[in-house]
Amino acid sequence: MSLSWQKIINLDRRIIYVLISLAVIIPLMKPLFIKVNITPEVQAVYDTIESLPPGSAVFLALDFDPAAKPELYPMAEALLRHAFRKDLKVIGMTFWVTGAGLGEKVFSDIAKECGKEYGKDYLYLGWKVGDYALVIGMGEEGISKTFPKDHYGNSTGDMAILQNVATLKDISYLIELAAGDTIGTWYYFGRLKYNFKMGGGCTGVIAAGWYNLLKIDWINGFLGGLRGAAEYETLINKKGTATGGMDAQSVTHMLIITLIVLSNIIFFVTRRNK
Amino acid sequence: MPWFRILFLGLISLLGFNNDIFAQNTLVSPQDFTAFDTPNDAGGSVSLTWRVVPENNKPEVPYLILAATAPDGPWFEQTTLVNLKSDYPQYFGLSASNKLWSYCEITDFKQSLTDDNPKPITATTYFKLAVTDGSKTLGFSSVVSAMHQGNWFDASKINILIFVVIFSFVIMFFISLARKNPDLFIRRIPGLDAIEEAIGRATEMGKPILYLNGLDGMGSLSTIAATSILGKVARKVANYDSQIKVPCRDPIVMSVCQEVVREAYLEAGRPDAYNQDNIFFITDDQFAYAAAVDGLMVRHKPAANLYMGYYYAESLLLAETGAAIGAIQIAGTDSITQLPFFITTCDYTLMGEELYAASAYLSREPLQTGSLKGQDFTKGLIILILILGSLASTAGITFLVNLFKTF
Amino acid sequence: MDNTVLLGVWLAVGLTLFMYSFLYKDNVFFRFGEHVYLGISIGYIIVRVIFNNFINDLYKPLVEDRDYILIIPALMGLALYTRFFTRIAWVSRVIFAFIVGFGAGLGIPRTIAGGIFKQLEGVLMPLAAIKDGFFFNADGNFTLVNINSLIIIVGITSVLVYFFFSVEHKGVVKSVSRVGIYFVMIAFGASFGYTVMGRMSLLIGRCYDLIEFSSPKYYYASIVLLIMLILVFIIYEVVIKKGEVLKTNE
Repeated sequence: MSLSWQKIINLDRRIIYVLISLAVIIPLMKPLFIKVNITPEVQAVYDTIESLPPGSAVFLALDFDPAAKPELYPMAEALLRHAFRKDLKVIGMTFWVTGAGLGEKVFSDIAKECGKEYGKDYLYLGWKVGDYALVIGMGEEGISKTFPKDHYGNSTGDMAILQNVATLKDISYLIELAAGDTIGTWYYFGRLKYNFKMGGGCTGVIAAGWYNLLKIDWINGFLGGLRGAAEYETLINKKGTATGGMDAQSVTHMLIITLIVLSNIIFFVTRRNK
Repeated sequence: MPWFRILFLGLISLLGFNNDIFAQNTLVSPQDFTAFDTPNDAGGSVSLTWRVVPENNKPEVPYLILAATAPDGPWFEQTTLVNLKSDYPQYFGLSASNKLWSYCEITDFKQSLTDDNPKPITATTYFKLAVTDGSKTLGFSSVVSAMHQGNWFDASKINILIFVVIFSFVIMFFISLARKNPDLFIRRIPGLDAIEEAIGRATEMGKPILYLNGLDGMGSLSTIAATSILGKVARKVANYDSQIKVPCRDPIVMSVCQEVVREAYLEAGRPDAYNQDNIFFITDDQFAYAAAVDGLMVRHKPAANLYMGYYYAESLLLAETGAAIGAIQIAGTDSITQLPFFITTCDYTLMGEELYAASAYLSREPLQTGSLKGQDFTKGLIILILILGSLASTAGITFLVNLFKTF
Repeated sequence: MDNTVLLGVWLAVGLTLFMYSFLYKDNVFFRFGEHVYLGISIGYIIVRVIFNNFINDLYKPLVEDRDYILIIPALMGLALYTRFFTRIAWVSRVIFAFIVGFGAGLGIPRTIAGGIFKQLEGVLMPLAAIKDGFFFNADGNFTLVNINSLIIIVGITSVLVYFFFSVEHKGVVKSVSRVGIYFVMIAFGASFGYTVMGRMSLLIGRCYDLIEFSSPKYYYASIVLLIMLILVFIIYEVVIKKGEVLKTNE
């Protein structure tokens, strides 16, 4: 192997870290305004919410923790903005104990921005241990029986929002924002039994597997990773952190593709030379 | 009284007038109206069906359902519906004749159409169905009654039950076969040779072996397979007088691993060499666990890293750090999303079911071997169903597809 | 700006940079961050479980609402700890059996319904609408649906053959399993690409915050702390190298 090829192959990984950092930081500081195209699976979620009449109930399952915040929090913001714009009633909860605070923050921030009233237009149930037992409880016994108190400790029995939304059978659309495997719980114990429509959002790590769920009709659409969040922000005409991150995403992807192609060329050339 | 006669004559003429309208619309009274307990549910719902007739089979023909607690009334309007088809295969199956019926499910008793606070049905309820023209009722069905009750058995899931029974028998058959003949053929998994090589290398270098069981609990199949392989690895480590470290994310997994490793050292005749502190709990949090294991790798510099079990997003954090310290890395996981990362960073990877096969191959336990053979048999069956089912679907025969319908 | 918010921002930036310093090499800052993360994660979970779960779901209903049926699951949960006492460890096995049995009863039908039947339902589709032709649909338009169906069938069959352990991979089986492994690798490539996107998104998210916290509003937290960290590393390297040089001279 010649010296130059050897130098490139044995390149200190810290140089690659610096290149990646620059590829992320520079586009964030100097945006390139690359256009975001909309994919059918994101469009499907948007169209479903758009088709719901005002007053319909939407359930938002915020099943992620701070580690997945950069990808799923912008999704939650965009979905809530859309739902509130359509005057839909939104109920939220989470299966992740470390995500309870994030859910509270996104609900209160976006509701304040949209002028929505707690208990009447939206409700945040918070976290409770139970997993599938909670889903079954909300479907059979009722949401207020399963969560007698909300995240803030208020009694849910008297809340105006739950007067017409007693159980999961009364919700029009459930959106599961997942950083893990919770989509199965919502499908098996929720959608399969109570027949509501379901959509989702997930981190890039599990997004590839969700196309299969789309095919077998678990979900009618989903937002995959930061890109999905950016597409949704474009659809609702309210650009946020996801859209801003797309430039950096594109530049880093180009850098990674270049490095992969280069290293493969070197690999085949040096193998041939041997 | 005169006013009564006038009213009576008015009503008669109205009826006649209505009958004329009815005749002009050529709509007919609902046919074969029946009510029954909704099948395959936990109770609380009554189903109503009526035959679709050509005269009424227009999209805009509305029906009105009335209910009462006695056969003579008083009648209360429950709901208005546009002509519905029977689209509930979970209740009525997939027969083509279901399309000849309309269907409605009633779960509560309303005092009027606009009643916002309906009560659940608690007693036998009487129903009748009316065809309307949007404002006037044109014809009634006969009165029927039904009472809801919960069903013990959900017949719509019978195909799942049959599959579970067949699959269970197949597994039990092969387990009993494996008990009689422990040497049932399992093809060699290439990654297993690498494990021996890794242990040998670690012994030569005088460095420990790092063994991770994944991030799931003992309920996970991959964790069970990982602990099974840990027993074999620990035995080899005891024989070679090397050292093994097992940081755990789950306290129950830690307890199980401690017992497994202790047993392995006992079997190798080296109970004195066993050190319980080498198998320890770190934290329940995913990334805190990854950070701690990374720190461990950088400080203790193990010669071999074995990642067996189920992993999540921290897999690359672990494997990349292991690659950076120059350790030989062997991974085995059924986590589809993390396999690509293990394949690129590890020297050998056991993909998906290869992890279970490796565990069965090494242990030769009848339970594991029999289960593996049973799964292979089922896989063969599924391949056959796939090919036959696709050919049948192509020819327009949907029998096989319907067999696997889920509700 | 509230002082607590400012303190939180500086702490967040500091800890982020400490963890990222691992990319340079293992150091005391990374170890500090690692142990703080460990401690906080355990502490937070313990507090949440005690107050949200134990007190709200067990203690209050039992003591205040007198829901005595909860004694049964409480005792079952406590019985799990008997595994630490050899004489009565058998009690925990009974409870484990209950947990495993309940979990299996709930999990097996759902896995078969969703994981096998639903997948088969989606895959058992016609390979070609014979009357329309392989590449055309009923409207006469060009379509790749039939090719996709064929690829899916070939892919699933060959991958299942690859994971067949009862037969040696020789001859036809070897060829089919080779096709299967190519399908597997293509799937892994797609998954890898998506995951790289996911990981980059996380980095973008942190960088967003670091850039925001480098503004004058937060007293240039990111810039100040980054410069301080770099200086510490430089001084540390210089001092260590000097120390080593002095030692070798001695």
